[in-house]
Amino acid sequence: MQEKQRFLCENSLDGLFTAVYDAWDSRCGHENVELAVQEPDNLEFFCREHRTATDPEKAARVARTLRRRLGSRGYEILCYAAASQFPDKGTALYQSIVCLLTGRSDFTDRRNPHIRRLMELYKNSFAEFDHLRGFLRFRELSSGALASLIRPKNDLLLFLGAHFQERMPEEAFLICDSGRSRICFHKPGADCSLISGLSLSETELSRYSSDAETFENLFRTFCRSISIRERENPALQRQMLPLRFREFMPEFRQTQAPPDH
Amino acid sequence: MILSQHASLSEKLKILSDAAKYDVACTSSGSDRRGARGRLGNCVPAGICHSFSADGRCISLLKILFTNECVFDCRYCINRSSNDVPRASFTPDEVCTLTVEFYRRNYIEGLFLSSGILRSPDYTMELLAETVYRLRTRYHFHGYIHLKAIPGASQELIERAGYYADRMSVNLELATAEGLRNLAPHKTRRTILQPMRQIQTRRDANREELSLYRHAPKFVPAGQSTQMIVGALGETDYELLSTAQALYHNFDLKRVFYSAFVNVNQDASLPMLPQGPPLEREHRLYQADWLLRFYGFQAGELLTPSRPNFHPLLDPKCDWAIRHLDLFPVEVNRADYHTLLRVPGIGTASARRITGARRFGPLTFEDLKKLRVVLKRAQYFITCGGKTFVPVKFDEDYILRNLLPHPGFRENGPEFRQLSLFDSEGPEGPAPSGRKGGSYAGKTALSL
Repeated sequence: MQEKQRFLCENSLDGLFTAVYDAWDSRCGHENVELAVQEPDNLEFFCREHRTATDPEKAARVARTLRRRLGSRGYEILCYAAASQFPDKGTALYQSIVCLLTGRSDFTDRRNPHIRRLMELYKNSFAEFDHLRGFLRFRELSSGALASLIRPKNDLLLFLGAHFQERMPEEAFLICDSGRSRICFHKPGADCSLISGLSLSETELSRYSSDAETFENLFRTFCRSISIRERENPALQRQMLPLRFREFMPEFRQTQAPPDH
Repeated sequence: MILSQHASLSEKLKILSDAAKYDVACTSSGSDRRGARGRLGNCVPAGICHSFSADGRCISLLKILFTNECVFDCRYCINRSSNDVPRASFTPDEVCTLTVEFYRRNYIEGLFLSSGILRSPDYTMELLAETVYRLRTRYHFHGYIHLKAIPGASQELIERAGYYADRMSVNLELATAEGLRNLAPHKTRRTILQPMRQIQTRRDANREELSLYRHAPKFVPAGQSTQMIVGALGETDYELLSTAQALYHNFDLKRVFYSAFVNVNQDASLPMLPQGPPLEREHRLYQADWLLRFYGFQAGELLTPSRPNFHPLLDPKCDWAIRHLDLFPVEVNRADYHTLLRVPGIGTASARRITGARRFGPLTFEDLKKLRVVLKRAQYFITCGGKTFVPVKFDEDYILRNLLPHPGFRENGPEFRQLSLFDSEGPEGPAPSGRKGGSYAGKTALSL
């Protein structure tokens, strides 16, 4: 029985790509490799652990190869899968890359369990991104910059930053992932940058916000009046817009019924 | 008429969004435009939903009327001239400010601008054209704009507005010319179809221009749409679907929307609907509309003059498949994409996945489950390697009984019914059949 080789890496795109580089380079047999982004709960027999330190140069080499061999669409799928919330993403990513680069499979080969899992992870991350690019709300600060709070399950900050950078190139904005304490900044004419270990709260944001009572109120008015009373269907609304997204959405902030006394 | 001439922006927004809510088109799809320096916004081909209102409908665009001071008197419309409702009008700059400020905060994907007829169709269309012109040129808005073409407006005005809008629409409202004559005396089929034809012809010409000059201005790049009211007259599903099909074929429409009728005016000539708007019927029409656009079906295959309405409990594709059992079962490992699309439980995504995955080896039912094929429906119509998922009696009544939702319905297999001495039906009910895994539980046990 071959010994399992577990590569422990940082939970980031660079961390995962570095682990892919090291695992491939270890030559201990692709089928024995496992990539983990968090410490296992318990020790395992017949399993050797390797700790990989994130190396931007190795990560860049992996990224370059993947982009060249799989195209921009394939690379995008891998990036979304790497942003996933699920801890088995490392192994799915590595084993899929092996299948894809050795020509054994392509992205349509759903019979392959690794590719299937990769596509599930991609779908899960992309679905949340798709929701958030609609449900994310900016507030205008007194400086004229826009600020937003989110709490996604998957690590989508960079994807959202890139989306809004393309959409509003002349706006200064920040998006804060309050769950991961990371902030994505954008200045007009520059690319987005990421800062870790920083967070904002709702109250802090309200303190610096200049227009809480104007456009937010107008939008609330709009949302109320656009609904047709005869068709009201809260279950459908909840299905389309799950409650977890409503935390930072102004149109739902005042809809809570006052407590019964 | 209550005129709110000095209303605040908030009051105007309340009145004019309330007045626009019966227009169901809210999609922001069909345009693919990248962001640009010095401009605000872009367009995503699939569109983006930004919120959902209490009725479960998507809020994607700032859906407003420019004015509800309407001179027309359509019987079904809340804004008809004979109604005593608060009236208001925006100015072009107010619409532009609202759109841009909402867009910056990511509340909306763009603007949906419709209007009541203020003074005359030309006057109203000029105001709408001026608004979108300002939004694009002065406010540098690069996001999505859906604009209504006003029936009866001059061709020059419609063409001018079309270069600033992504999508344009003219509402057909009623499927029959007679219905239009009775309920909308100021509108005619001609005044509705003429701008539709004009937009179609201009788009065709624009496509040629774009093939010659890549940077030529685009005319209505997201195409045009329309809307029909469901249940206002005695029209059948067959009439509605045939009209929709004719519009897709003859006018190259991108979408036909269906709006379940709500009797907002309590008009005596319109039906009272104490059980609420016909939402089930609207839902079936949308399902059938998808079959026309993406699944290669024709209206005549789904319905006929002798069978003019959809089955209330079965979706149109299941209904069609049950009536065409001679075309089934389909072998999943060999059938082409278009044949797979006709199988209930297999949609465009799963058909694509099947054709992609089977290149690497034959598929089993376990594989199909993992490809997210809905076996609950598909199991009666497919084989994998020549075998069915469960032993299936290839009989219309049997399949129909198992597909219909009822209290005995089970997620993972056909129906089982325990026989009872006191059942009035007797043992003639559904034939016993095996479940997944080969168990034949509950076949003939008597309950006493």
